[in-house]
Amino acid sequence: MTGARGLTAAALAILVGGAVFAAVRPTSRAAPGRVAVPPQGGGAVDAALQTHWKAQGLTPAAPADDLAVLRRLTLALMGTVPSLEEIRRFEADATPGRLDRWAAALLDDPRSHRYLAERLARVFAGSQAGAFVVYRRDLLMDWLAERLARREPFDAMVRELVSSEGLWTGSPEVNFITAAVVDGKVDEDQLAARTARAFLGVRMDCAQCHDHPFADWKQAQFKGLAAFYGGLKPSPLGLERKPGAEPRVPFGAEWMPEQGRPRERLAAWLTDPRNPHFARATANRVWGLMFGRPFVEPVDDVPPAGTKGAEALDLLADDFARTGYDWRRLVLAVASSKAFRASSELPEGAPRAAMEKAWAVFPVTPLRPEQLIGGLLQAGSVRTIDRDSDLVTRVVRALREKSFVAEYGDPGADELAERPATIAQALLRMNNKLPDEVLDPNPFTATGRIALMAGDAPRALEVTWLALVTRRPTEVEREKFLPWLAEARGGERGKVLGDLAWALFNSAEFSWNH
Amino acid sequence: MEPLSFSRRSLLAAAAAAAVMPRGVLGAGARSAAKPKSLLVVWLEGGPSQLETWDPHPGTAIGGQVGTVKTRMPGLEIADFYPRMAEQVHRLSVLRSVVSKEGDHERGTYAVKTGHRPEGATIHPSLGAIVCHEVPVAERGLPPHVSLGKSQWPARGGFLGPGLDAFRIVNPGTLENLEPPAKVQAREERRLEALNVVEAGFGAAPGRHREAVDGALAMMSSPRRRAFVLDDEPRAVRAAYGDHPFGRGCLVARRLLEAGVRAVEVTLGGFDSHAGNHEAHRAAAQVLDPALSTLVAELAERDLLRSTVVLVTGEFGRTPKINVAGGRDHWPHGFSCLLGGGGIAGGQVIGETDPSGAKEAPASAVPVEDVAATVLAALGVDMHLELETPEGRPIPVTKGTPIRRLL
Repeated sequence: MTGARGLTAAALAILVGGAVFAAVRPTSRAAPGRVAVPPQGGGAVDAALQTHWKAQGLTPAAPADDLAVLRRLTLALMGTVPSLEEIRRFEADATPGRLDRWAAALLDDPRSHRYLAERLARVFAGSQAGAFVVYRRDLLMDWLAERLARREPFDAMVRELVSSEGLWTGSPEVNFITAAVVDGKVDEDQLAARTARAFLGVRMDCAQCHDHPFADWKQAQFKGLAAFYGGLKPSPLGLERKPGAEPRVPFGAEWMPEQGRPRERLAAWLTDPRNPHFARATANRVWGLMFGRPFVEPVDDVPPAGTKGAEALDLLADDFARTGYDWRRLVLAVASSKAFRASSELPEGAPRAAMEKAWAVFPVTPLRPEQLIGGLLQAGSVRTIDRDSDLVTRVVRALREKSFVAEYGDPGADELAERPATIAQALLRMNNKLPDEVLDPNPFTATGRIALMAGDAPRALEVTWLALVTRRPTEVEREKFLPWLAEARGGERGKVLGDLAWALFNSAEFSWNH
Repeated sequence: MEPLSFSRRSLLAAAAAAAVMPRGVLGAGARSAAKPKSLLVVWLEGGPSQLETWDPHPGTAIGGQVGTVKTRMPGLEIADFYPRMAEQVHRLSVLRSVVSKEGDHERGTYAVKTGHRPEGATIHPSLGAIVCHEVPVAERGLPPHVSLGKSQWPARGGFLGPGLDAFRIVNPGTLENLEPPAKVQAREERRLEALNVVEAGFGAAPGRHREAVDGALAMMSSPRRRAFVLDDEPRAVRAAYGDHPFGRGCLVARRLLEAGVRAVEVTLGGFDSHAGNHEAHRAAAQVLDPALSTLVAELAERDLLRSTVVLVTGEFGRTPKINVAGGRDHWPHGFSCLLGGGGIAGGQVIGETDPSGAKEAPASAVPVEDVAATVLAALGVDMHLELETPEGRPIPVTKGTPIRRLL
């Protein structure tokens, strides 16, 4: 193991003890302060939100504490809570604008590329295992993560997916198509439905069987869209195509090039700057990934521009289209908005439903399973778990994540649709052996290390709270729990910390985004 | 705001005071004719071969090496891997011509468990979730929908919500997540006390979180949860089911049905025999035959069969042709399942596959949608019912037609 991998016991003691962290940081992970933050459309978005709040007679919630925003950012972009290590580093940066810098740095972290690639893969290809051999979800994930890492414009990425040719192994983007293989043939209806939802923000698949009940989508339009993917079949040479029905776009035919293969023409049409749906669908989804709830619900049925109350979405979408579909810029614009920085606590007497609907308070939403487990595993370790961590930690994390997600209830492709909190989930959090393995003290868990190294009881309490809920204990909590720690002797102290960590993990504060 | 208070002890007291245990978990007792019906799905994961289970064709090119055994049903013979089922199968009906359009495990499972093809982004609810939704269980303390044993795709609530997902017990006979890990049980009071303090300080706390935790604590302290464990079952009964996860799963299933659980799924794997089909099916049968036959016999003895729809099936069958590895591949074009109980006629054989294996389509084909419709009809679900997705889209509860001969 190299020096960069393992923290020495002394360094760990400093970390847990809370000395200035910069002194012990051995590696060169993207350092905030070096990252250029692109200019934000934030001012205009905030102005639109404020106008809307005023019109509704709503007083927005106070700004959230910086650590609360740090937690949201890390959950949205990494799927975990911030590590103690990261909190120390964040707090060591006292210059203004640290949240903007931090958000930009997170987006340059390989963990975020993997995490966001999985989110996008669900949208583009669903969460099913799919057809054997011809669908390689792992390769599609790698491809998406790599595109995010090199900041490829979002429209170019989508064009590659939609018009992809070749073998699913050599050209991983082809898995967008082969994800829809059923019985050896490409299911064009599935691809048409996905295309409409993911890239246009319209649920045309209702029109697969009948005309859309609310909007103006007809069955014939759906079939026209599906025909772009018609007659496709995976073969040892790649995708084969037999010409079939005449492809037709549901609107804006003038944006479509005359020449090219059907899917090339479709890809160009989808991402044509004159097609407003592409940017709006993406902006609504990015908003949803950041907040846990899309700007307008459901995430893939987005109303047209100019809809009252959705002016902020219009602005974000316009900026996205105007600046070359820069996904990173869009994420940062959302992350810097007043809505994202607002507290989740209501001003006295304010109505939660109306406030949340107008984005005047940060919405309280359940964490998705992968966020909950990511948060748990991270909280159980004082160090940041990522590609720099040792292999064993990573393997254990990956395995635990997979089975826990399955047991917690995988939301599938529709993960931004809000799901109720269930009794089965509560039981899993309370009694499953995984949380106990992660949170109960031993030399490898955070509570064990904290018990051993954090010194006095107030320090141990503070560190436990930071690791689990990214804040310091309240006065009430200190008064209640400090005596518990003070009275505990020997190994009992670790057990008290383990029990407190259990309580924090089972609290709403841990398993909800807020 | 009412102060939060999580405590198992107080909930235990409340549960005891309100204890409604008309059926109890022990002893069947007399049941009223109006008892709402339940669903039991015995899921044979991987796609069991029709030829090595309920539809053998010995002595033909496709028949393989399996022999046959006579059953109590005149004229019906099944694979001789199942001598004990031969004594019980007459209580159910045998469907030998089930057809599906899905030859992939995940999609095939979806089609059989929901009665719909997977399409678009709408996730259909499983049959168990539908019946839990339509005929809710009044008593608290047990989940209404349970999945027992290791399962790759357990029954889901789909668009009806994750609250109707089958509650999973991977290792039947244990309480799993219904109790804290043994080594920390003594610390539970302290943990709950700490939880109360932390929750009280969280201003944005959503009520739904507390409801779920309260529901969990209620389940953990309910006496009805004893239905999940087998300590009070006689040794002989446990032995009859078989001392392995599936045997225990079948016995727990019987206890859950007695306790009024609305839908139970028990899963047995090992049927995906692309190589060594004969051996794989013989091995699986050694587990399935005693467990399933004992379960059916006990349901009948305890008068539970009248109120329990029993469906024994996998996601599809296996090819008539035996491949070079001595295996059979996926075959959704004419496979077998057992169906009965809950008012569905027993003693019937429906459909016929071609003994030469030349014809793909079986005689009197029964689409998987129709199997689902028959189950739902027997459970009293209106065939014309439309369920609503959260977006307000109406979805017909079934696209199939109940099998008239069985109802």
